[in-house]
Amino acid sequence: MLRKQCVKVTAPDALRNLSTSCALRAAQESKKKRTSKKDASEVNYGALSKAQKAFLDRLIRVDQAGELGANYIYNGQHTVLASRYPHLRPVLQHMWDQEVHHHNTFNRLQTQRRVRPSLLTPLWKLGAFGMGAGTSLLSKEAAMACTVAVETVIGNHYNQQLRVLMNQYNVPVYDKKTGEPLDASQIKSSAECSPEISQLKELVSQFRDEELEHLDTAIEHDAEKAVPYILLTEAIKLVCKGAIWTAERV
Amino acid sequence: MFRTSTLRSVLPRIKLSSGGLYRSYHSQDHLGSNNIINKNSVESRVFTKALEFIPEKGFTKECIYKAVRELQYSDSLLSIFSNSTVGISLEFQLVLFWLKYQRQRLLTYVESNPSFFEISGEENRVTHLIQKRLEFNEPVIGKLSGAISQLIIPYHVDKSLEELHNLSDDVAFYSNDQSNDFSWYSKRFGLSTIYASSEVYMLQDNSPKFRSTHSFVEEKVSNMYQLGEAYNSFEEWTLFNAMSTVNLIKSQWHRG
Repeated sequence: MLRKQCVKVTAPDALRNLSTSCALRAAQESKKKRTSKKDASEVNYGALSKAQKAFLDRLIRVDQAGELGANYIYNGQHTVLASRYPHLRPVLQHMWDQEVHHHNTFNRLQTQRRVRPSLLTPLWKLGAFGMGAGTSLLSKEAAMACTVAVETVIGNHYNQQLRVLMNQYNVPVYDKKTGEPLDASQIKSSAECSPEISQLKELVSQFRDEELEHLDTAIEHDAEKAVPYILLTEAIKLVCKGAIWTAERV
Repeated sequence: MFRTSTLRSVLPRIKLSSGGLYRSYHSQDHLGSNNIINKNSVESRVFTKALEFIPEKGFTKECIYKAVRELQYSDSLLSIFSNSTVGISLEFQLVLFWLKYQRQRLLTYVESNPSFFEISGEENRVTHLIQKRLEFNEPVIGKLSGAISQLIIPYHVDKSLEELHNLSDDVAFYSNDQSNDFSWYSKRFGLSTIYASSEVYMLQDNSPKFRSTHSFVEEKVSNMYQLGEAYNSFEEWTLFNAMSTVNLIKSQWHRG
């Protein structure tokens, strides 16, 4: 086991170093390195490329529009269902509140980061309220099926965004004092990515989890008993994908 | 590192989302992502020098020729500008650079004057910034009509509108605009209209220190904000009435 570790640490070096002292030395060295690793406050991050900025721009715009839509869907559901089925009221209210929080968060990001909101916001508001209220008028199961469809699409979309944020945002990092470029071994893993990007990642993954929670809630409340379940969910999924495509661009 | 093609291939010709019509994403932690002018490029060095000659020579090629000579660059440098991929004339490049340079100055002004943020009310901050930007016109006021006549040539209109909207986006952002929906567009459109009309007004203003231009700006901005308020009140009133109508019908329905 000791051998294995040693090979791992000094792999590029010659194999003659396979000894106990080598392992110790390696351990010491790595300790030294760890203490001198820089954290986020000691480094500067290089500029984002045009494409990286464009992606963030789109991400915030589409997520803002999406959360606006979700907010209005639950608004529509709440309007129709809350008085008919009092036992659903706290469930809907809880999901609605979370969506309002998501929406406010992205609103704040949109103004802070100078992102253009979607031009079609009035349309998203109307459409989303209509979708929420319309499916609720069909039946409470249909409303839950609508939630299932919407949250599935949103969850997938958040996951796609996270993949890009994880892979494509490795900007050069510089030492704040000397201005020298640093490589990955000289910085703490938490500082490899700027706070701006890592906060965004955390936000997106937290929101994704909450959206998927809503999905589970909807299934617990008999979403699958909606009569043309497949038809309803697939149609709504299609509409949502179309809306996402549009909101990213317009 | 970042596969540009996959992101941009879908709609490569629409410039709306990145650096096109409006300023794109504003980074907080990545230094240098938000610069308007790259100060280290040869082009910007030459054009910055050329700006000094505008009060004397107007927005003409002469300024650029003189700048190239003063900076002791070779005259062949001019062919790089005139054959550049943008395909616009030297004079218009100078005009565009001048506009960008003034936006950079406005940013520097906002960043170096903490007192600006103490002005209360978005409306007052907007007025202050537009007036400030108009003050930057003062040294070249005699030559400004030359620049404007270039900006309104139909062939140039897309670029000049882009700069105008960039300016109004800057003004809205520095004044801490919080609009999240369609009002984002109406506000910027309104600011662009105000700026353009004030600049034209300023050309014919003979009052000392351009006082009447300043009061013109104040009036226009306050009109815009009043209009915004009126619209919001109308929307609130309509929503309230729609909801109470629904409730009225419901209660009558239940009474039978």
